[in-house]
Amino acid sequence: MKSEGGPKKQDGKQRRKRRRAHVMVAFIKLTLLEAVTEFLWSDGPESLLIPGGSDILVGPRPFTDKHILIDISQVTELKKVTVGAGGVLSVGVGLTHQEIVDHPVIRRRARLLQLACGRVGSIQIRNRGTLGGNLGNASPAGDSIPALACLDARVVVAGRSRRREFDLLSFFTGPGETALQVDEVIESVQIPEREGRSVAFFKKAGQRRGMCCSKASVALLARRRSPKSLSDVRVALGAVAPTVLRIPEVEQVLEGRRLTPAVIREAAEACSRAANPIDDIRSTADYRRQVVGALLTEGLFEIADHMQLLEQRRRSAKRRGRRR
Amino acid sequence: MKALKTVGRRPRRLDAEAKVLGELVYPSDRCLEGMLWVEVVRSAHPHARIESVDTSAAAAVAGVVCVLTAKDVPGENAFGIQIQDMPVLCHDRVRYMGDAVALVAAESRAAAREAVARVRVDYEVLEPIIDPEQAMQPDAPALHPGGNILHRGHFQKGDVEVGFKKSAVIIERAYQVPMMDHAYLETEAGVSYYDDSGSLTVESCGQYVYRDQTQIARALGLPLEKVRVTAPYTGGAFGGKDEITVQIHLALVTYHTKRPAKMVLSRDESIVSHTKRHPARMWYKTGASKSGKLLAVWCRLVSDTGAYASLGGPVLNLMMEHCAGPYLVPNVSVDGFAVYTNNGFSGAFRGFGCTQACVAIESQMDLMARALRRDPLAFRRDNVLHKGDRAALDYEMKTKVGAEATIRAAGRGKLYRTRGKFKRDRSEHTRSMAPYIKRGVGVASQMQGLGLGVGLPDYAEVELNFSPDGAVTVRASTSELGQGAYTAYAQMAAECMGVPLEKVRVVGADTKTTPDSGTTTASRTTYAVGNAILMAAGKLRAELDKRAVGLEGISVRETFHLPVADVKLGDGLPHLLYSYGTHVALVEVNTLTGEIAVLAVEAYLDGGRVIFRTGFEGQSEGGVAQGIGYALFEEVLFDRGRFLNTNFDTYILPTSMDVPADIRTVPVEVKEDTGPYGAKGVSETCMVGVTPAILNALHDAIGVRFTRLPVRAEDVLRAVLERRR
Ligand SMILES: Cc1cc2nc3c(=O)[nH]c(=O)nc-3n(C[C@H](O)[C@H](O)[C@H](O)COP(=O)(O)OP(=O)(O)OC[C@H]3O[C@@H](n4cnc5c(N)ncnc54)[C@H](O)[C@@H]3O)c2cc1C
Repeated sequence: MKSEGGPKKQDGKQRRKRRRAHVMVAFIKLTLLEAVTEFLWSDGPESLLIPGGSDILVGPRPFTDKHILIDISQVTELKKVTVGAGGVLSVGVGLTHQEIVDHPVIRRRARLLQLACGRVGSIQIRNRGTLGGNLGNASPAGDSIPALACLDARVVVAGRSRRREFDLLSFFTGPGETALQVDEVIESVQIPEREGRSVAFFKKAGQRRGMCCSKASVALLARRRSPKSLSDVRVALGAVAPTVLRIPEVEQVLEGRRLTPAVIREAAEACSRAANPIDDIRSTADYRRQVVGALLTEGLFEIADHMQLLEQRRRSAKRRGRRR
Repeated sequence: MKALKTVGRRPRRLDAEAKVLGELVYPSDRCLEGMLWVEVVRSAHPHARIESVDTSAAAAVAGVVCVLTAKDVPGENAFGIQIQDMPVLCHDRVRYMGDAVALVAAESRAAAREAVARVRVDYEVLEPIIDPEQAMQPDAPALHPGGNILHRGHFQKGDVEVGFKKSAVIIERAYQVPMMDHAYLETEAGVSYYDDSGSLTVESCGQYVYRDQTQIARALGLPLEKVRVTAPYTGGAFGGKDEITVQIHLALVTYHTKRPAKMVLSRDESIVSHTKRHPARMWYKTGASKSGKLLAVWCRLVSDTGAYASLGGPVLNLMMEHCAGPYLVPNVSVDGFAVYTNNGFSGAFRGFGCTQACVAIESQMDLMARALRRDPLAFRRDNVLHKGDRAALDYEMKTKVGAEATIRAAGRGKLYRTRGKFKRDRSEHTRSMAPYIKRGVGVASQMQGLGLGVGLPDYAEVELNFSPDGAVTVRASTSELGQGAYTAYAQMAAECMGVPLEKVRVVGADTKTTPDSGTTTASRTTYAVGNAILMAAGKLRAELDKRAVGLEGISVRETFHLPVADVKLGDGLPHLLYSYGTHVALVEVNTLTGEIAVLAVEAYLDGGRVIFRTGFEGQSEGGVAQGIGYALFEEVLFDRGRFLNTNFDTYILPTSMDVPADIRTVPVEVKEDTGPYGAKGVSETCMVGVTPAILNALHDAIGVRFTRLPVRAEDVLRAVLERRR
């Protein structure tokens, strides 16, 4: 490892040469965050962080211009879950999807993230793939992203002796592109505390039921205001635009209103209108547009049914109380 | 009959332990001292003329030992199971993206790959021929000297016009089925070397070592006895390794370098290069009387065989043979065409033409039953073929027909009997969602010819050895592709020799040490090899009565010739023996999202007597998975002859989440008189009916008939929205 020198730029020609020349790929494992940022400071352009490898290793042409792979799966700082000042939940992005699904603190404070991470790939992929990889890969179909968007998460990235913080959606600058610089590592996501009783769902449509990327996905987070309506509604869509979208139009439709079939239909239509999808090998733009509305409908039906059930229980408990 | 001790039971597979421990050596696991890695330069275009090939830059790459082109093929630069129309290395023209233009052998795989990128091929790009209908036109540019129609057939029974005149319902539909990949776990692989006796040896993944031997010897201009081929174990084949894949290329490298060589195709290369299931278009018109009697089946079948023949002709023959399903139809007219195009390359695949035809005829049967308001199973039962009836192509069914038995068994099964209850169940869904969830139950019945059929040499020779310690060795040249056949052989040998199963060993698929037992295809090995084992055992027992067992034991060989029909309608046409099956499927459709889930499948299979029960069920469950794939997920996509999805990220296979936990396999054991212990075969029947059963269940669920596979959520949603309008 070099001790001097900042990140170097590489021009296209050099990169091509390297691809042809079959450079040896070095694989190193670092366990301290500081070591990672130090390393990136000197060798950032040649290095690739590889916590789980579930995106990188199946990618079309792995590590074409990167010849140092840094295994960061054992960096303990990246695996921390803490609750800080003002109730802000900090989730280290080194956690695997399954570790997130199983985490009791995250369950209490960011259930929606668990719902989304629980739908990633398969148990094998969830055991390997990390939140950091999902963010670093920056696919519009990354399942954790719509959930984090609803949770108003902020992304913290660390460089050598500096930290930067981003609003989640401004972190993504395009499909596969982020604001991350070559000498930085994503450290954590910060999720503010929410008041009241939350309801949430994450729905995705894929090409099959297991091991599949989202053709379209919908995350919703809201507060149960009255027995019948929602407030503080957030809706985000995945895989229907170059990056994940928050959909204020849908949020406004639902805000404070009773979840009647007509309102749900209105929200679903707004959802379909807001989508800006493409045709590709996985699906069609038409289908994606329709199915985001369908997924929202399905999720809202479930919430409405659940709220009705709670209401019935509350009433019958009250009745029983009175009888006594 | 004596009670059977091992046949029909569930012994542990002979290879279970080695496979579970990871000790079994597959072709891709083999490594030899000093071996070279071989990589293939494949065509850059679906259709082009080769102007020049410049290998100098490739040969200069460090570690490269040789770069071979067409001029280095010492024998006939052509191969193919039936017609040798495929070059080992192309010299003047390429006809699909998988065509091999040059071979590179190097000390490392990386060097070989690098050299591949440096072979310079200049092409004159030609317009790809992608539409079979256009390819058939007389003025279409010809892909092969004989024109683009590889094979055509016309068969007639009775007079369909008369049949349609008498019909109360007539259903007409056009069906389209996609190209399907075999998606075996292990891609094509092997090693080659000169063995101690100086034979050029190829250890590979093929399905018929003796035919591979012939094809290698022909291409290398060697006498047969100078070539040895082995292929005992491979990680799945399903017909996709029936044709030559890596064998000749490996042999060529060893021939030129005198060094051992190894090849393993990457998944992308595998999907681009090997034979697939023929995509087909099928036009059907069928009629039935008011009382529910089938009166006429007319169909036109167009099968796209792609760049080369392989088994395109016989596949079309089976498509025609099975065009009317297991039913008695007085009037039939079928026209079939197998056509060359630049859409990849097709050949053998589980079902072998029946798969395609079954999708169409079983959809037609369902539509007719609906139009007549008849129960779909009863309608099938009322029209089913029996022994002595004349089949669709007008020959007599001379062996036992199990079709009716499987239909009746399906009718008694839980899924069909209580289908109303299954269809109403919405307990997995909430109250508001329930109205959007639709369920349906569908059935499909089918028959599947066993063996290669009339006119193709079809026999199995085996060797049986009895050693002084009482152990029995079976030597047969068929391969263990994962299906469990070797275990079935051992069970039959144990049974007829009266020894415990542990005393039996199976040695497989080696042209030097095992006699020619024929192909590992066409649902034939348990039946054919089993019969030969029984014959050899008789002879061996007689020998044992006559003389004492010496140190090397006693060995006998016997050959079983498969009985065939007494008429010949074409290559492999027709069959004498058939397996039968009826499938029942329960599906659930989410009409909001269009998503389909297959919730349960019941399989009623007549493969004769079951020899290896666990293997039988394994075949059935795998068949269900593959049938679901064909119905709902799998399709090789092209853009003007270029493959679009060459890996499993975009070629979508069903996962364990997409295959129901609830698969019930019920053997309907109609014992075949000529079968060993009454056995036939089941490895194709178990898949073919699954796909149309799902299509029929979808119709039952949402009232929509899908005629194009695979049926995706996109198609369902479009259909549902159209109906709402
Ligand atoms: C079969 C299969 C199914 C899948 N299904 C899904 C699915 O359903 N939903 C879904 O969202 N994804 C899915 N994926 C994609 C993938 O599993 C996820 O995106 C996963 O979260 C990636 O995590 P990883 O740790 O494996 O990433 P890696 O592949 O190791 O890394 C991905 C990228 O992120 C960068 N990176 C990783 N961590 C950091 C960090 N801390 N700081 C900066 N950069 C970083 C890496 O350098 C790399 O560029 C699937 C993948 C496969 C193979």
